[in-house]
Amino acid sequence: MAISPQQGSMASTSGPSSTMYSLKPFYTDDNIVLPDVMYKMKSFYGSEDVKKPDGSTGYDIDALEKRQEAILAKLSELQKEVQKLSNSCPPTLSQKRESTSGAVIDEIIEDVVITANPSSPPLSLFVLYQLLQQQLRTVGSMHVHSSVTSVPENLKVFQNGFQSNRRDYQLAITLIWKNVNHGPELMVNPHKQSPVQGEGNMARYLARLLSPGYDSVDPITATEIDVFVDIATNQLLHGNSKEKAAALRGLNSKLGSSSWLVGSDLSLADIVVWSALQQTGQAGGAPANVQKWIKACNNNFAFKLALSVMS
Amino acid sequence: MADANAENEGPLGPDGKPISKKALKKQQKQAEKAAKKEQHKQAAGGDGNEDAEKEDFAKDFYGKCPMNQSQERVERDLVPVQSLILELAEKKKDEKIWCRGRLHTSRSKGKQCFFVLRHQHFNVQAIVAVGERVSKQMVKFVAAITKESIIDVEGYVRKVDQKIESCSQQDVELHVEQVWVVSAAEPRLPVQIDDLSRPESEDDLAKVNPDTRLDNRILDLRTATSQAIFRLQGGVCRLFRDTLTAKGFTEIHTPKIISAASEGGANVFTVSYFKGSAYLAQSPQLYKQMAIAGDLDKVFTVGAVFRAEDSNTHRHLTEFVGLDVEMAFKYHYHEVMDVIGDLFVNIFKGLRDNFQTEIETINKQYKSEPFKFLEPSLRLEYPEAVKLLRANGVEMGDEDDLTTPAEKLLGRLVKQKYDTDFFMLDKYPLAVRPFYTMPDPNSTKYSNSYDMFMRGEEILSGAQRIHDPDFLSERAKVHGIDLEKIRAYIDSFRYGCPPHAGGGIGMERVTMLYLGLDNVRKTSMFPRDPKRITP
Repeated sequence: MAISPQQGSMASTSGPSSTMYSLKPFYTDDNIVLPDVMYKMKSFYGSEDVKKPDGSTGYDIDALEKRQEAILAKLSELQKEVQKLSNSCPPTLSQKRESTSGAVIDEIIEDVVITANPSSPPLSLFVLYQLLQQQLRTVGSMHVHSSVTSVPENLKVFQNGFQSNRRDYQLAITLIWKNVNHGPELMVNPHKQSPVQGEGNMARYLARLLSPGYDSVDPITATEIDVFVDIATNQLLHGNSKEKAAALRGLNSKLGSSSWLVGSDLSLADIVVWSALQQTGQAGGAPANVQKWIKACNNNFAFKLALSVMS
Repeated sequence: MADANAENEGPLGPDGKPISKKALKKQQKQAEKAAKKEQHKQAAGGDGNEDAEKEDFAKDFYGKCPMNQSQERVERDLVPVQSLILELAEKKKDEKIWCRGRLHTSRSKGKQCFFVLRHQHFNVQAIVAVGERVSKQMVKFVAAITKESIIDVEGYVRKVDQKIESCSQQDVELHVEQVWVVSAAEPRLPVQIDDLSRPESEDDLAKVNPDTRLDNRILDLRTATSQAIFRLQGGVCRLFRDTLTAKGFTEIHTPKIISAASEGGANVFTVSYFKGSAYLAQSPQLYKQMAIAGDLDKVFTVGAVFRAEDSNTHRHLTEFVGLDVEMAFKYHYHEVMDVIGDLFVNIFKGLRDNFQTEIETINKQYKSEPFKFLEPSLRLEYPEAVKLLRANGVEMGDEDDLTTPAEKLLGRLVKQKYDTDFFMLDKYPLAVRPFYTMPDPNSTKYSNSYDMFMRGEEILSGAQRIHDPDFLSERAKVHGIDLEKIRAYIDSFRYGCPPHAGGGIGMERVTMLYLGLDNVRKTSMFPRDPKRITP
């Protein structure tokens, strides 16, 4: 608010021309610079032009360059040495097969524990065991749990588990006969999993050991196989008689057009469905195509062990 | 008041001084009371006096027996408390039977006295009531018998309408007509049997300190639980002997006084032996091997083992019973492992099938999970165990020994994976085993040795022993052992010795782990540890 000197001096324009008292202006008309910060602080980083005592500037560019070059030289030296070493000891291909199931097949044996009820032996296990033997060094052993007093002779399979040195094998299948209620259970690493229950799921796990790329290689086939595995467990094993009959009819029609359930060769679907039919005793009264297919399965070498368990 | 004061100077108290006012008043009151009592007696008069004077017609049917010095061979059938059952009540309806047991508790109510007669873990309710044959004095006598006294009773076995829940013989009751005390107990017991038998879970009732239990072991042994534990332990020994004898083993006995510390001199007890000193054997290892070199082929021994270890843990004793096995094999030490595995399976099966009542009795006081095992026994190799432990977060090297927490974790993992409390671990690293262990032929890292675990705790350590004297000397040198000290040991292999292997277990530890108890002192009758050498 600028008060003109005339008004400030409270001079009356009447009377003598000079003012009574003249005051020096106590403000100036210059632009007043308004501050934009509350408090101004010294720059944290130090002023830009610090002068060293010997007069040179702070950043010794040359010394820095020299250091960098020395480090680069050292790095190339190291690289040459590593190259030499890697030529003299080539890396071995560790046979690490980390399948989607989480079992780590490497040089130390991995033990897959399957607990099953002696009154309903999971036949698909024995078929898959024989197939696994073809691909990995597999050994099997059988135990009877203390909750079961005795098992019939035909269930005493896998007696080779003790004659051999476990260290020579990659995979062990340990079968324990015990009074489990909801189908066989599979356990590999107790802290990383809860038990895998049911024959269908056990078969799926073992199939992924057989072919680690099960899910990624051909998802369509994998899904078709899964459909049949589900039919086997839900309708053939645990379904009522209507469901069983319906499933058999479905199988019959499928087997009319091809000799195997999925694709042109034996697959997991065939194994699990065959096992379900044999366990529930439906193999005898099955329709014609199914009978033919059962015969084809029986003749396959992989089913030999399962057949011996059945008798 | 003045009169009283004047009178005060008269009568003198017993100390010669005049009695104070108060004392005089007291005396007067007492005299009045006595007079009143006399009156009462006179009035109630006839009955009271008659009672006291009444002839005790049952005088000859109760009392304290003279101390038994085998005065007379009495031909009398004592029915055990265990056999007092419904069938007996019906068979011997009007016949009196004799029974001997301890007086567990008694409760009297005027004309009746209920008491509980106990023998081992069986007890039965008995009642003595005033009647034709029983007098009031007899009931009083029975009520006054001290707890734990041994008494002989004669009476009728009668069926009861309502089951007696608190006794083991729930269907019958004894109507007693004769009671004789064979051996009286002192009135004040240091501990009550009921307190000793109480399950641990009940918080607000008295619990007995373990030290008190061990100080009064005689009373502690009378509880049903202790009876069951020691019967089961006897069963373990018997199954051990029977299984091995059936496999062609011979029982031997090895000396316990030895001249040189056999394994690692630090943990031996020294005894003065005439003019010198000797040691108490830490294990029968050396002598078992000598027996094999002496062509006994398959031996076992059951005997005391003395370890002077200053460990105050729940599973160490300074003296315990060792069940040791040694066997000469044909080609592979797994032949011996199979035998030992089968031995354990037989012991567990025998206990499971024949000692179910004992196991249940013990479970009432000390709860635990039933023991599970596989047949044939589960066998894992050390690298597998390391892999399993590493997958669960334990960091250890390939050749490291298993620490106690690692062993417990491994036990838990094996339980979750295979559902078994017993397993064998084969091929331990050579670096952590004693010098006489035979190394693995295919790898310098491992050895032909094994440990066996129950509920995650080690119970057996065994191996194939080196039977070649030159190789043995080499291995001893590698371990820095002075050859002079073990000269006798090495010499025993100089005259041809078959390849052999074996192992030893602690009987108390096996019983403790089978039952899932928490302290080995519960399974040792009179335990010895660094702080206790009595009773």
